[in-house]
Amino acid sequence: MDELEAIKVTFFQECEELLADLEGGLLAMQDGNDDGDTVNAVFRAVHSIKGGAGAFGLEPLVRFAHVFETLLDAVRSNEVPATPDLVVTLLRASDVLADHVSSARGLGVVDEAVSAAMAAELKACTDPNAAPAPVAAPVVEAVAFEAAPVAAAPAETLIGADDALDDDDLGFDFQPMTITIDEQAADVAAAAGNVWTVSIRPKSDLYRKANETALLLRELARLGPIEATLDASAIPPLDMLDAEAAYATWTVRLETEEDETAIREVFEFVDGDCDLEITRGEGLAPDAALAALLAGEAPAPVAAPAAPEPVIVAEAPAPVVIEAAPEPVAVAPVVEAAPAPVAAPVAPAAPVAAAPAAAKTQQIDVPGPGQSVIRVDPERIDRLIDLVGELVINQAMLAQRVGEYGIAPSSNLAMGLDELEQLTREIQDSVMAIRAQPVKSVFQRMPRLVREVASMTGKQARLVMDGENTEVDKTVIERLSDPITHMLRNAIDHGLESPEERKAAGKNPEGVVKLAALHRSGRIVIEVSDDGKGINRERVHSIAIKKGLISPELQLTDEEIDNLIFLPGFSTADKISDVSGRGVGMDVVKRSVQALGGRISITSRPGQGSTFTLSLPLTLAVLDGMVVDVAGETLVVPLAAIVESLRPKPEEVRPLGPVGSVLAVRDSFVPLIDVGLTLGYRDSSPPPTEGVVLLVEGEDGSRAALVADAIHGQRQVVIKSLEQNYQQVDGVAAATILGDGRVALILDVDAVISLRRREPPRPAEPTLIAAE
Amino acid sequence: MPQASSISVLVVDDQLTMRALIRNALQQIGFKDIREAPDGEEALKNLLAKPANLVISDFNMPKMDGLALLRAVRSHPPIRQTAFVMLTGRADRELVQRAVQFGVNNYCVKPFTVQGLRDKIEQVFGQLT
Repeated sequence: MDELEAIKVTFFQECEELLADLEGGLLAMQDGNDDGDTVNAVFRAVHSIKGGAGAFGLEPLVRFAHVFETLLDAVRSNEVPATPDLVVTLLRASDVLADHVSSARGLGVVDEAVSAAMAAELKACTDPNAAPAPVAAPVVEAVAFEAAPVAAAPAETLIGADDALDDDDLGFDFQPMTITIDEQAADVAAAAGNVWTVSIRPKSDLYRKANETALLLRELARLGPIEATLDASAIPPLDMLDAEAAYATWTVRLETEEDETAIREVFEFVDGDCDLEITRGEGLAPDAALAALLAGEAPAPVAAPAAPEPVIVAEAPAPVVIEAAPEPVAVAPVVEAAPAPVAAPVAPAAPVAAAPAAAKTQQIDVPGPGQSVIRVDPERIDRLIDLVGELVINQAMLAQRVGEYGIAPSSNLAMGLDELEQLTREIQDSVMAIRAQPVKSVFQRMPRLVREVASMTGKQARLVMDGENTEVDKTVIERLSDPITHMLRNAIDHGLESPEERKAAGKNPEGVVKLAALHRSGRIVIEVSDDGKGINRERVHSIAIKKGLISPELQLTDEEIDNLIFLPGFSTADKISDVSGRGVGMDVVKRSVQALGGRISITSRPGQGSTFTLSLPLTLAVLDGMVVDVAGETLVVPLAAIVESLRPKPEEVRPLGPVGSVLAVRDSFVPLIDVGLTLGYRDSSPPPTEGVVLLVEGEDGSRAALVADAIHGQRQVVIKSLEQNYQQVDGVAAATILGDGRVALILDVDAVISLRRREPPRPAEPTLIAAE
Repeated sequence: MPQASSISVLVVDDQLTMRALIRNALQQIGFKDIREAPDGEEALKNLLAKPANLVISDFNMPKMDGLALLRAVRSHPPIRQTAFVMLTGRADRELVQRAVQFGVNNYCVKPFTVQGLRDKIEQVFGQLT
């Protein structure tokens, strides 16, 4: 039973995929893509969910899925037209189905009333003339099927439950066709009798006359299944290669009922332009191994490479029981290699010490599809990533020690270490790639959210998604859902106008909300935009003043006003709606995003809509940083933020205000920020000209010049969360462990810039998040 | 009387859950050599590379459905005699009739029990030991 439980877990995982397929298919249908394949895929998804659910006795799920499936079947067979309205209904039904799946999983409850109403609606769609007639007994034509009816013991699992009926014949005359394994084996053997080996060695003339081997092979394939092997061993190294010459030889194993003449006919037009050899049966030794494989045997060790006569398995008198013959039978027509069918089949009886040729043929063995995808417990990968992180730190420590011992960079040891660093990096990248996932998993939950929010707020909204395949580390993916949900809710609830307002404004009553993901300078950017009314700046401004969030005399740019909505305690909704006002404001979203080293901002154009932009690092595991010294402390500045580093000349530093100063960088002035002072490491700044300046750029494009005492160099560091291990500190994004084992703090550049802004003695002034 | 453990089976279904359930049922019957494929196309490749004695296949699958797989199996000489059991729903009667035309050995209506599946296979191979 444990095994069944494990399969059940698989089933629910699969349900997630099937539900996604279902929704994806329905959305495709909504976009007018209602070809047979799409509709069938939609049908199959529901069908499969139902089938699995039946096996585990998940009755409510089976019942709902059945009604849903019946309608989809009617759509599939064109009995019910797939109108846009119907597709909308189907989408809602898919939401209810998803609820049933969650409920069956023990993750929530289904609203029975909603489910029943939906089921009734689906039934009505299936049969518009819904005469609620009792289900007629299936018309039985001729019941002559002899199979003993299965006495379904209630305790027994029904596999692939479809309808809850327990007779298992379909009511027509059918005699199971018996078969013996011997016949099968004989057939396999007999097939070898129709095997031809065609060896083709084109001469250069063949190509000169614009013929092509591929065409010949295609012609051959018309006669029967072919297996073509290319012998490229005659191709010389590139520098000796004559581009006009022909080097390749093809050996084709052809299975056909046709005779040799028919095969020769294929080569009629290239007669004389290629060397052709046609032999009946398998080719020589190397091909014998292949043939053996095709005949279901383990690959033959090429023990008898000179085996002159073609191997004809057909000569082996039956019975040859295929899977009970772990011994290679292919080398010679020997029957004794087939032992009595007693032994359990030794799975691919691999002759380990076989010649390379045998090893090569083994690769031809098509791996089961189950092997192409490995499902791994995510925790194992997390553990691997942690370990690789330790490895990176360790490697850095080692490199530092070696440096301290004064070992020359050209020494073998140092070079070996360089290689180790390279490898460590590669391992790290590869491991991170394992955990990278397309944002699709988050995005695919959003169409439903948009439907629900739109119907709750009485708006018409269409979600357009872009960049679903953008990959990002799993740790980041998990944290994307909440902010995206919030931004979307906001876009529909506050951004979009009601259909009437939109019509009055000359817009399509249906608003468009766009959700896009893209990579930009080593970060993932999520954009949520709407084509609604945009932010009412006057109102936002006055609310912010009224709530005491900003002082009335503060002059703000449009952009700064837009971003006031991220201030704590700001909410423009006059009434707390069920949608956006779930007690969480945009300020909370902003804070959670910042905790991840991310930024969020909004831009808006009155009457045309708003765009939320969220940017996050691609991974929360590693960071490329510049290691600097500040007041005796070691800090790491994220490399992505650094534009350049320089040593300021005295004439470039200009005082500004009572304590501040700016740095002239080419044609512009940027504020100088002493990191040591800002983080409270020291009370007064040394002259900036004595230190090094890092010109940094914040998320919003604002620049600042950070003053540090010295630069140590560039390094990749493993991020250790400060919040998890200590607590959040203003101006610090996270911590890391350096090569020498010391802990260093990773600077939050944007936070440092904004800290600096509110630093000078005006304590009452609120942080202007917009300017951050 | 063939031994279940000496019969190789290829289970074809696009659903991982269903393949796992069928595999589980087959193991209970005594089968040991069980392979899987997610659709007809993969199944055919798999069979051509290494024939099996028995194919248990779903009908509705992407790429190549069960019926197309059956036809393909019957038209490839080396695997022509592979025993083929089709899994179907009750609604698929016409489909089974077509499968019969193409030479299906037996069919099994979902839902089925382990014993039900065993019976169907035994009708093809004779009683299993």
